[in-house]
Amino acid sequence: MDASTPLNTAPFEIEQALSTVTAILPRTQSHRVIDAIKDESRASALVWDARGTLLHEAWYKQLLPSISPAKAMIQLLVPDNEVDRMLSTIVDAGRLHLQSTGAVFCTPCEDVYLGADFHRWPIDHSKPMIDGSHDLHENLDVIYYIVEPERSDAISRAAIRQGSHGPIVYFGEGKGLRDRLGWLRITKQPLKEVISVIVESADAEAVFSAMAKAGQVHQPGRGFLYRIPVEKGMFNLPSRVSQPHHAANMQQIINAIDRLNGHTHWRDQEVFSVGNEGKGAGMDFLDQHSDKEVPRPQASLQAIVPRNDSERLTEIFLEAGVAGINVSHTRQERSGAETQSLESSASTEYSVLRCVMTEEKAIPAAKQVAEETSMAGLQDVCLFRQPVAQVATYVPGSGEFRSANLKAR
Amino acid sequence: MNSASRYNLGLRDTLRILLPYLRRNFMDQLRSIWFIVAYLVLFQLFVLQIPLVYALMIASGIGVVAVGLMFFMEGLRLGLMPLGEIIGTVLPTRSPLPIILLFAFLLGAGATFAEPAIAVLKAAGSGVVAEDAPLLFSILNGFASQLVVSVGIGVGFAVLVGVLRFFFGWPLKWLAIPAVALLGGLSLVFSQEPHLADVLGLAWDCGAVTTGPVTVPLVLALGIGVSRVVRSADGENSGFGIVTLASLFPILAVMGLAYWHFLSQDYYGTAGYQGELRQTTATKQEESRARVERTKEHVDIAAETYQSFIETGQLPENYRVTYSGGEPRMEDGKIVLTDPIVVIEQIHEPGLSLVSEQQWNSEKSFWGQFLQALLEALRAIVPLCLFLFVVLRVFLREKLSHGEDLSVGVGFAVLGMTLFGLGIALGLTPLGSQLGSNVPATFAKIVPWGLDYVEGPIFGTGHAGKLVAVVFAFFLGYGATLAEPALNALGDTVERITVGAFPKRLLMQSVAFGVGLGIATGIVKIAYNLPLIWMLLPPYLVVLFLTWRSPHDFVNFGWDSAGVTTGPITVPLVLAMGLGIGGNVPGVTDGFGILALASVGPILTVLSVGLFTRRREAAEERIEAREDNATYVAKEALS
Repeated sequence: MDASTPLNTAPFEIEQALSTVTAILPRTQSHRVIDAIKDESRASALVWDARGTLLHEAWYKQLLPSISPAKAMIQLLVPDNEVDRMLSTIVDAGRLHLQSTGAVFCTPCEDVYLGADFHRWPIDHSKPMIDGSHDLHENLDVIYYIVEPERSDAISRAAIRQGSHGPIVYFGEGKGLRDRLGWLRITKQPLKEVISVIVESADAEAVFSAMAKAGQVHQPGRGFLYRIPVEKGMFNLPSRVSQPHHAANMQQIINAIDRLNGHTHWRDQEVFSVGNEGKGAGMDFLDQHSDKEVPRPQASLQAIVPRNDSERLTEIFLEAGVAGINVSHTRQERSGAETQSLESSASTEYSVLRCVMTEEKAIPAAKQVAEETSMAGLQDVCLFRQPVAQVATYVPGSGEFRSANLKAR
Repeated sequence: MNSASRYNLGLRDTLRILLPYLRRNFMDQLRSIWFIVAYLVLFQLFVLQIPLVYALMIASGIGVVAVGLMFFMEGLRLGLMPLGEIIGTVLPTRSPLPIILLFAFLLGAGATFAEPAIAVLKAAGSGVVAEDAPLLFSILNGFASQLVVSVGIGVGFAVLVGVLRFFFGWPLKWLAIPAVALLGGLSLVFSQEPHLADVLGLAWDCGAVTTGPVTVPLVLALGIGVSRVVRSADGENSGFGIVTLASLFPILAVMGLAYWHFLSQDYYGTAGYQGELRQTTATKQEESRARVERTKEHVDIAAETYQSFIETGQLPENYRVTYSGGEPRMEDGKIVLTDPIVVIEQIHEPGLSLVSEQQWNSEKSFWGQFLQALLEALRAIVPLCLFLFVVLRVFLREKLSHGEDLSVGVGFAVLGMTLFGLGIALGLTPLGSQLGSNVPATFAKIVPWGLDYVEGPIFGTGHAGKLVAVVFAFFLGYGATLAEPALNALGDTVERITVGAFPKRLLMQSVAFGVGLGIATGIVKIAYNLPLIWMLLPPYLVVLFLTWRSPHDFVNFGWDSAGVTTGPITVPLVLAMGLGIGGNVPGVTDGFGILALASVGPILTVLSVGLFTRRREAAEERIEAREDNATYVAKEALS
């Protein structure tokens, strides 16, 4: 594992100008996109296996066996000046401009700590800059809901009813509470599902609160819900699948109206109906924008580390005062690692640790984690922070629903 | 984890965490076994109308099964499966390929010796007579140890090839199709030779019974670990397939053994036979009870009952009094008979007594059964885990970060397996074997299990009765499969590997349906004494076609589920029924073949479900083509 650009001998360097680029694709298409990423530049991508969500409209279809479509989630750390080119590479390779294909979006990172051994992006100035010629949206949000597996279906359904696409679900492990129970930890399944939905910012509030309500997030042990603003991206994910001979679905019609109108403002004002297909969007969130307390800025702290070191890093996080961490395991696809011998065909497993807290706690925690990590000798690690727009979870001692950005603790 | 950040929980909080956990897991297991138990009991009481023997023992046994399953499944989750997965991830990175293959072979062979299926096979062949099927008889008796060794070698090679498959990314279908084709061809050749034809059922059943509830999860976890580290070329290999090969290779091994003995002519009745020549069956058949012809209307009163009537004047239960003769006369407004002949008959009223008076089989002491189950559990789990542990610590020098969890898990597994075995011996086996031997009452006259009168045939024609038996067999297979722990583990694994896209419930339902079909077919085979080869080849041809058409992941799931279906719950129930029905059909000597058919069924159903649902996925991808359609509808809406 060699650092391709050892600029600096210090254990950590702080880089500001990085963004995460996340893509969601059908698994059958993902190989093509991964290959394109590898070709484009000597990048490394983290790949999660995920599933999409299928809802059947008719009750008799719900009785038939259904297997959710297989999806893949790909995440890369990209220097800011390469983001546009990477986005358009992914859009082209995954044909994301077509309906029901997938999504891609980028989120800027703050305070990036890179370990000396972490595979970093070789900056290649020879390639021409590309201004994202694709039709990228700027007002998008991603909602993540970390929840026990048995509840995820109800939450996905609630999100779809509120007009979102079929959520993407992947697995994670909950850390924190469980490890503090001593021998009783055997009673807690570490497995959690992470539901992720990409929404227009205008719809975000409605989808967020629908998911919160469906998941009863105000009760203890019902997971953690948060929303991260996206800098730019696009999504063409299917919301529901009917029989092949069925007419177009709602999502397609909404997108088509967007294209005909040239904007999405109509969604805020109108409720329209198309035959007996159902009602279009047009969310009631007027009263939610009134008399809010000034929200406390929240931040998500994320770390990428080889899977073998994830236990150690989890402990470092917990020692830094983090309440709970979601760990998801992923594999790294990297260009240059494609020789035919047995040893090098071994893929590298990475773990992604993620936790959300108030920004004022996150900044010192990140610093402490970074220091501890370098003291522990973990070199192949990356740590960064992203702003979080909204959080909802159970707050001990309060029986009622609390959204952390509504009420200061 | 440093102890400072641990919560200090009082007794109350501990219970608040522990009780829901216990309740959830217990209810989960109850949910998986209630169907088969309720089905068996209701069928016996209402369709066959025979009282339940040993009701108390069976009830307590079933409770113990649920508790045992609860611990065993937790043991798999906490101990055995993580252990297998750790080995799978560590081994390929630290050892050269030959060492890995040696390890794989030892693991497979060792697992067979830890969970020997030979007892099951002997039970299935208990009616085999040396003169009728000499080669089969010899293999079950004189060459029994050779049988175990060859099955072990077969499973060993299966694990070896299965692991090799991960490294080179061979798709499972290109291994399974040639293997099945070879086995089918060999079976055809065997079926032409009378002595070899007898062995076919044994060989195919060996494939079905080799993989037990400890081996399957361990091997699955191992495969997942290896394929986590070794990404094969097609990328879709997800750690399955070893179980499939472990149910195909032993068939080949047993056929080879039979052919070798056939060539060397050293089995019973041939020139080179070394053992003693005697006319006997493979295992001593139960001495048939003195069958007294009794009707439902009236039963002979036993001598003891008569004696107690003489001494105490106490009448037997369910009696009927009739009188005849006598001098009637009027006395104080009443009719008085002098010197009538009074007859007291004991009658048997089926349906009135739900449970027989025998509540507990006195031959089965609780502690004796417990010790036996404990020994079996220890033998199945401890040597394998020790082997894995030694490999991990001594050869690979891997430090276990979750040592406590693993040992708790292994402890749970041993405890769970002990209780599970105990519960099966006390509850499910008596229930299943009495049902199995009572089911022929639908078409034949039998003495119900554990009772002493003759019952049946319930249905007038033999065909209707046999049809009822076949339908019964379908639901028996269905219900028993849902309760199998190995299938539960497979369902969890499939759900995990597909990130929840292939739900466990769907897999288990389709597998259970397939096993039901297979077992029903097997009962048809036995009830009409059809040759196995013609029952086995057509479904396997269909399966080969489906395999060829199916996507790789469904091939993996489908074929692996074939190997896990026949476990400790299904086998005793199915064998008891097969033998019971076979015993009432002239010419049937053994119960072989049902288990083999029970493993084809699930492949058929899972692959069909796969092909069916893939249409739906294809529909999703086709949506993009209808973009124009959407624009059109939208224009309509706006205008």
